[in-house]
Amino acid sequence: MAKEQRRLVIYISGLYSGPNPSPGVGIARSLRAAYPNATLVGVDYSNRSSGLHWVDFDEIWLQRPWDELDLKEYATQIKRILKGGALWISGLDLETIWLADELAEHPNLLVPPVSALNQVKKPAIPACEGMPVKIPPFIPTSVSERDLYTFCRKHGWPVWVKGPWYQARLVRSWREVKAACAELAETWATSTLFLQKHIVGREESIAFAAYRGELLDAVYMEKRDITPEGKTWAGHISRVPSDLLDPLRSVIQHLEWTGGAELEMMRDGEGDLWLLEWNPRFPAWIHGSTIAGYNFPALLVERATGIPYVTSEPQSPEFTRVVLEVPARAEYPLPPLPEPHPGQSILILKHPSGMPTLAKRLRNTAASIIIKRTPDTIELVKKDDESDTALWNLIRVEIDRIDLKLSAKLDTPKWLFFESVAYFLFESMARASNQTTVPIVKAAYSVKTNPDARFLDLARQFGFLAETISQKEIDKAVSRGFTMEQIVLNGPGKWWPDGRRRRAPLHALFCDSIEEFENVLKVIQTDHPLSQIIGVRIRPPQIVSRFGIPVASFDAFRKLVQLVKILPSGYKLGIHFHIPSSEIGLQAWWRLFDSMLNWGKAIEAASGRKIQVIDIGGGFFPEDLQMEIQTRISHLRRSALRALPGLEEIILEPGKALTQPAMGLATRVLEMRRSVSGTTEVVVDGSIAELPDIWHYPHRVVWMRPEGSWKLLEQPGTSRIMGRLCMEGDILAENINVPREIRKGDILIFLDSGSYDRSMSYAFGRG
Amino acid sequence: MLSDADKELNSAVEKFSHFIPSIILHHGKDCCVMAHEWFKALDISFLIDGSIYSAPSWIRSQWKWGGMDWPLFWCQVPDLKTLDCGALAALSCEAFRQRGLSVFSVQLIQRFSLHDAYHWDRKWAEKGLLSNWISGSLVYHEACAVLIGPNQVRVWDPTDNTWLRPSQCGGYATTVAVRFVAEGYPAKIDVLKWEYLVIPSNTWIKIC
Repeated sequence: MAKEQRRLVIYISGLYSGPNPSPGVGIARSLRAAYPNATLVGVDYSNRSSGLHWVDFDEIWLQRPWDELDLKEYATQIKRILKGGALWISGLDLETIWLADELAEHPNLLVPPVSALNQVKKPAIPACEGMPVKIPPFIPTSVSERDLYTFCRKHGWPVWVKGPWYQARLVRSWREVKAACAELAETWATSTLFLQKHIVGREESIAFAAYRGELLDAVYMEKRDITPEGKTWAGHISRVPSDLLDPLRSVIQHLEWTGGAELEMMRDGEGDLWLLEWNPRFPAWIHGSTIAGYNFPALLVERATGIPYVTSEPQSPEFTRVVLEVPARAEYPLPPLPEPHPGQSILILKHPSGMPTLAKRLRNTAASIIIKRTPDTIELVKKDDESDTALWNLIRVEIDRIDLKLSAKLDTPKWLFFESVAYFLFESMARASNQTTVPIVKAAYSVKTNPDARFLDLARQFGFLAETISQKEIDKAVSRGFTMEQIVLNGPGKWWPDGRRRRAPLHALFCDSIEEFENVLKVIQTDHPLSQIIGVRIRPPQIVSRFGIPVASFDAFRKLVQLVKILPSGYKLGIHFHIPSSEIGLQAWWRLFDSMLNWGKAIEAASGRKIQVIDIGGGFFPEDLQMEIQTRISHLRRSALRALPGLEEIILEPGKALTQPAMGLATRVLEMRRSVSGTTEVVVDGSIAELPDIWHYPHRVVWMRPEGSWKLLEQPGTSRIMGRLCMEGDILAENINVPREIRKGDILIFLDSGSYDRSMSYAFGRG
Repeated sequence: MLSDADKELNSAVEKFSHFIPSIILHHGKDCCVMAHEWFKALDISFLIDGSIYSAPSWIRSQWKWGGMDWPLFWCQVPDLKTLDCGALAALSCEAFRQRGLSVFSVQLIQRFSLHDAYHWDRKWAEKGLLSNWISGSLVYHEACAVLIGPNQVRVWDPTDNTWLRPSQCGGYATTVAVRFVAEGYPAKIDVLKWEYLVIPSNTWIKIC
């Protein structure tokens, strides 16, 4: 046997052994235990790869970095090695793909066939059909920005931005989505990225070895410790449960899999398994499996060669990593650290295996079929919904109406009001909230969202309440015909600027703090009724917010209950919570709604006082209001009444959803800057001073052609639109497709800017 | 012939056999109503992924672990900074129960070291508390079992903020014996399944 083993030569690639390691060292350790006399040759593409110095390698075959290698020559050399009887176990995903494509199922090449690799490409992983696992919803970034943003809102923050092979970024806002996409696209030189829903749960994995479709064995690994990057540091090994193993065996047979693999999964609170990745190689923790008595690299080699391996006793079902210093090989001296690039404060060495470089090179090879492959199945964002289409059609009509003759003289930047869009939004909200049975639903218009008189008039016309945050806003609402009985007052500075001026009672008043509630109670008991409804704003414990009473503190809750108990019986008691669904996601908003009802129940039970009014909202995205909230008002009412049986009124304040699509900012092109690479920079006379909300969500941009037609600029693209200000941050659009025909003097309209863009715009750079 | 470890465990089981799972008492007045309602609403607030099976890990970030006086009433809970494993387990069971799940108190014996036991003994003594939960290197501990399927439970340990697994047997900080207290459950449950272990209820079982 020793003689047979001596004949055995095994090439193992992927030797980096840092915080985010490749499996080469683990494979070598396992093979050394099983084949003490075999020749193990370590392969890597950087002399900075730490595993080069691992003692179990008899030889090192160091290659030049991927961008220097002649791939044809390299393939020829590997072919020669394989022909000589050596085996090759790859520890690098992209190398696996390249080898599978280039050397097409050579018997000594222990990697899966191309057809199998196609089936395990993330994020869809079609191979897993029939297995008791789910795939988290995802969407490729090649769709429009609005669709991406809809995906984020639907599934809630955070979401993952993932690269085609490695790397992922957990992002919590639209701005972070944009930044992560830009970073990963640059690293991998591809726009083939995707967003994926974040699954909360425990990380678990399956590792297996297979040969020509035969599952040799598999283990289950539960992580016991992870690195800051989420990589395994310690784990517990056990047998794969039969409900997973049996279907896995069938899948492997169908795929005709050869080599190692790892299925990375997440188990959620309900116990469901979500498959995140199917890596076409052994995991970096594979020697942990060997420690537990399952030596898969040895099993694979034995099956491929017929040479039996030396079995060893299981040492422990658990493994952990430790940091070890090992002597560096004299023949591979450690290179000094390179100098940081200009502008870098610290040196960051990334990807010593050179995978991004290989990805770039493979884009022009047959293997790119796998690399570039677009996902097969996508959980598409609900598109072309009836109301969404209706809204867009109205916007189109409004743009069609723009008089180009006038636009030539347009004093830009200029706000455009889309009357029919605004009417549609207010009318549909009024229709949806028209509930005559208790609890009645009253729509409210938040004056601060956009105090434009045209919106206020529509709100009054459709019977909305006016939600205000200051005495000046009350004055504005009254000036547009609202009575005091139609006004809701909330916010932390509601008495500004002139204190408690004696006015007729408001419809509702919501206190923002315990201190304010105490003062309001004093006033209404001794002086003036202030409002028919007296309530408090609740600060949800799970949300970072500066507003409302922090009920997570028992002290605050106790004081709140004590104050509620002394609210005179002639007043109705209300609670209020406003959180923008666009910032926390729709699912989270509905959970927050349920949570608020529970706080209402708690206040009722502790105080003995019924909650009669709730005020909810805080900023929906227009499509969410149309599709999600207005269609579920009956559900919302039922839930609220079930939790709070004394409820009489629900105030629904949808915020920016009523105004955002109803205005656009017309800007004029000041300059076109075109580079030889095809990238265009457009400078316009608008700026972040007019569009301060530009980076919080996607804005559509329309180009008015000089001859009268118009075009919606598409995304993604390679150009950007910059504002007029001499400020680094004054960038209005990135990754946008700017047609070559656009000229100086043309009009670009930034749509979706009718809410906080308009109301928070400021004078800047105007002297 | 029993090993020393077996003898120590038998002795501990005998010592802890009369221990009953910790419960939080209610004065039946506003003071406890307010605290109880606050606790329930707070738990629902932290159901971040929306699953009622999610661990109430927020409890451990609200209260430190340590010795405390018993009995414990609901109205005392919010103002305490430190709760012992029994109180943490009782709170966890209450959180799961009010979400609509069936729960059972879990009593455990866990193995640590004599060295640890001395430290705990001193810390408890400093507060004038009895350390009768320590028996040599074995300690009495409490957790909460949640019914997730027919007779199938998961065991939440709020002290360590982790789901306990029976697979770790022997060694430091592992569970060596367990008793699931299924009294009071509406339907009679004679046995409970904790992963691969089938455990008769209301009986101390050595699992390791």
